[in-house]
Amino acid sequence: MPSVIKRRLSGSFALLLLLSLFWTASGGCRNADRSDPGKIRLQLNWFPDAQHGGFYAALANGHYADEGLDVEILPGGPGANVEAKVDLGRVEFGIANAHRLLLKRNEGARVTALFAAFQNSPRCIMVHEESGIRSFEGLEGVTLAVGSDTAFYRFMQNKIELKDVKLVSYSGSNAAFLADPSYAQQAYSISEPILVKQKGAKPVTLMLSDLGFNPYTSCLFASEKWIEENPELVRRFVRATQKGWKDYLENPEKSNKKMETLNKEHDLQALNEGAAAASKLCQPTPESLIGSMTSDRWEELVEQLQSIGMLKKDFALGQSFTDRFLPEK
Amino acid sequence: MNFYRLVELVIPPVIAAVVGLILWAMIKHFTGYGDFVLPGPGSVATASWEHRKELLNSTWLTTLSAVCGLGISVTVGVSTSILFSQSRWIRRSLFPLAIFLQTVPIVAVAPIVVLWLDEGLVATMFISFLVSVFPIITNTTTGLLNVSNEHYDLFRLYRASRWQRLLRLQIPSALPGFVTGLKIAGGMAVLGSVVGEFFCAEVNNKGLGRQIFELKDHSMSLMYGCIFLATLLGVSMFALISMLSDRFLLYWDEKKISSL
Repeated sequence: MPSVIKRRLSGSFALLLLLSLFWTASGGCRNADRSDPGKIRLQLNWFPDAQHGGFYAALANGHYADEGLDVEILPGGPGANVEAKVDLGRVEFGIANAHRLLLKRNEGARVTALFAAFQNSPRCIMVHEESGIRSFEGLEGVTLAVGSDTAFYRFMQNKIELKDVKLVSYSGSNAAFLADPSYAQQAYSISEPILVKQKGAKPVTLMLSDLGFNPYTSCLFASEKWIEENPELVRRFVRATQKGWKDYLENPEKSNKKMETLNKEHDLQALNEGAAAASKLCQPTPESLIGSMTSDRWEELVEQLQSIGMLKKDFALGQSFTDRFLPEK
Repeated sequence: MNFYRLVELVIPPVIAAVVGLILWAMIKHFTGYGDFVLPGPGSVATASWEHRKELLNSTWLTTLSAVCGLGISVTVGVSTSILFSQSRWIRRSLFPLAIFLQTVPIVAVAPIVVLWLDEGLVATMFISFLVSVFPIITNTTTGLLNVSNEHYDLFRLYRASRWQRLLRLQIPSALPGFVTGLKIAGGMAVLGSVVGEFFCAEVNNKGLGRQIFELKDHSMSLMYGCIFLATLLGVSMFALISMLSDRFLLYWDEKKISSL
């Protein structure tokens, strides 16, 4: 090898060494000391609306402050990778739906659900009344828009035969739905149907939970490590959150006024209607404990996700959820 | 091509790739990130291999959309450039529109395109065309107008018609510019297709863009595989264009000939 090349190569190796040192060093800084929690950050998975009502209620009605917690709620959006932010310690708590937590655990995230705001999922398919479609069996001859959360439509495709249904991308806008009576889209029963009704459409909702796909929705979660290090903080946070949701289901007005300023898509009336619809999903019977979860439901979800090939066959529930911080009533 | 030339051409990128892979694996190892944050090279390769059929189909769809988008860009772009080169008035009135195409945020336009063209290949092709046409227009137009004064005078002296001047002087002199534009446009066409598929894809027959859009929620490893394939597609487009232009077009270019 000519000496020029040799010299150049050794230069490259020096650079490489320097780069690797830099990476090791930055890796070391990542686990900074967090003994003083200071501000507790709660990262939402979407723009604030009725699915997050109780968290805003806990903040607005001072339940977090009563527990000595200084809480900041961070709105999410389409790109919010909440599980990664929580796992990496950039925020203390996050909101996600049960199936997403399992899918991320499947990929190595060590996060645990602590509180399930919605016992029953608001996930639905929204069609126009004019289409004559009233059930999943009748769902045919439509364009159906679905987003990146693919579990529910894979489940649906597995369960029923979709005849003459064109699946397309849902980008978050209701414009295409409003323009076309043969258009259908994914929705939350507590949100989009109310919004399109305000604009003159007559939506009909087909609930995915009727088909058997019913993941806990708007789950509060934190990283396994953080929970282990701060059990008392977690207990206080969950307690305040439960009070917040209780407030929200009884009297959502105050929190909705706050959320109205944060999310221009919903006006106060839409949020109030959303809250009314949410109350049946959060507390199906007056006796049901707000936020509670059962391992049967989680196990069922694991099996469903395995059946559509989204979870590894040997996936185990492990520390996917815990109800030990939830107060009894 | 002799052996040493081949070694010179192949060894550096191979070394760079190997070093890159080692660095990647080291970062993964030392940071200890889970796959949902940073998958390692091994799990990306495994996941991609397991889903190779699906990925190949997606790559094919994206290729189709990008190649057709680029084809439309070449046709429309070159015609527009010739039009621009013939009249200052046309150029002045329409060039701003071409610049508009370049600067308009494609993520904002994509949902509008869906409303016009419906979801599917036609829509992603159109977006691919939208983002790839400007480099062709601007480079080709510049080439068509950058004719040396001596040549121009010579054509006038011989009373060459406008048509002759275009065919024998302007177009040959615009070729290097056109090729430069085409090389940029090739990469842009892939980008346009991938972004277009975020918004305009048919879900049951998805290209790489829609795959990336979905996979970010449940398989980072496979998503990395898709990103790699999209990049590979862009690189292949560039290489193919470079090769074709060297082979077929640039023999017209006098500077190239004189340098031989």
